[in-house]
Amino acid sequence: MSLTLRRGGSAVLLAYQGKIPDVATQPFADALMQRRFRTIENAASEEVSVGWCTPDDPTGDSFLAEHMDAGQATWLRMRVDSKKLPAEWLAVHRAAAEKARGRPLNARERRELKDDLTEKLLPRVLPKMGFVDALLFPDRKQVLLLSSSKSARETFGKLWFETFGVPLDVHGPRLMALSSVDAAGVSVVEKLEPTRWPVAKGGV
Amino acid sequence: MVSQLGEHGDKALSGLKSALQESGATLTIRGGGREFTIGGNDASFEDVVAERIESMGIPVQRNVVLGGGPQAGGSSDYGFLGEEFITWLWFQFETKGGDFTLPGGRAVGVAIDDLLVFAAGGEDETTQTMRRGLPTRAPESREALRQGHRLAKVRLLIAEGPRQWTVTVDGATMILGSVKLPEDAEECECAEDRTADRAANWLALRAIVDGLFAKFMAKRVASDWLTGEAAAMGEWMAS
Repeated sequence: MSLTLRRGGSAVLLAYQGKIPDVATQPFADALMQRRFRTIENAASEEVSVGWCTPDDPTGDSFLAEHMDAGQATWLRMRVDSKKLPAEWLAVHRAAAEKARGRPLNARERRELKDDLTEKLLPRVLPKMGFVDALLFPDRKQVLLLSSSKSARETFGKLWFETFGVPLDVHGPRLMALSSVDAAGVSVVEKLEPTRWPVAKGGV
Repeated sequence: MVSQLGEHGDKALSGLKSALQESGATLTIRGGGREFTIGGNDASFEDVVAERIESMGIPVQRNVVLGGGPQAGGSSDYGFLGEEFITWLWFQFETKGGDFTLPGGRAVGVAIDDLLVFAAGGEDETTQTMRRGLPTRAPESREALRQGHRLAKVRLLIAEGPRQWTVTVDGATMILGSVKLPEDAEECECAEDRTADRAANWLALRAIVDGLFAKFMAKRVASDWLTGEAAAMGEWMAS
């Protein structure tokens, strides 16, 4: 985990309509706190925990403005922890049980074995940790998500909506096109069709 | 199955069959959670198939989509515009050197780096990736355009003053991948400084891409797009 914003990677621009609290105010920190990251370190079931934290405080206990300050942007960090029973452990225990009984386990026995192992082992399994960074530009109503993975985008969009109550849209070609023309150009953009290159189409 | 469709159905299928054979087109019919694709691939579908069927006095149902036609690159979310944009950047780089003046007098240089990815013209065609060296100089690259392949991804070198970014742009989504920001400014003395500097560089990269896209859109929505810039691009592709 780095205390410095990374210098590379992938990025997708997201945009929102509507209002969110001013990033320099307590309501903004309170909103993040409402959806703060909560640990699942001692959980005895397979689960995923998603919530906000800051680069300085990965626990999600505090949201100080200076810890999210990135100059022109506000640095948001989403933490995603997931806990899963390792498949290898299940396979080892299943093989041992089958050897002891001298026959393959039936479906009910396999389910019981899994439930038993989950109860015994999961509290000892450490969650897999993941962090996704984003830069919030409130004056532009845009968020630059520093990940291009679809799952990260969807998880971030859900957490954002739960936190601020406004949806995020991907600022893809359509929104880029609409925001780059004046009011008269909007109807032109809406009617655009793919270009059939005049010479190339004829088969040169 | 034909016999169950009645006279109009038989005539329609017969017309479709001959028109598809003539044009080499792909006809995809979607509905009821199913999708059927018939024929080859050619953007001249509408001209040939629709006219043929209509000339038989049978109304053409327009809820058909074409492989390699308007849906290519995702017309619903205007993915084709992103793909045309990166093709236009390549054209600008090769014919005008890749220098742009963006709003606010911002002067940037754009060069095509070492990656070109061409999307297939149709679902059954092969995706082509040109990697390393100078892919824009490879004869296969221009040939891919001539064959109707769409430029799906491109790796760009972008320079503004002493700052330089490298980025892979996915045309259909405009997602920026494999970004490398400029080196941290010399005056950065602590982690906070570096973070602020990098955030500014992320923002600048996005602003440059948006500015370039706006320049492209100014040409794209112009009434003389097809006879002007697109015609010039077509000649460039053919050259």
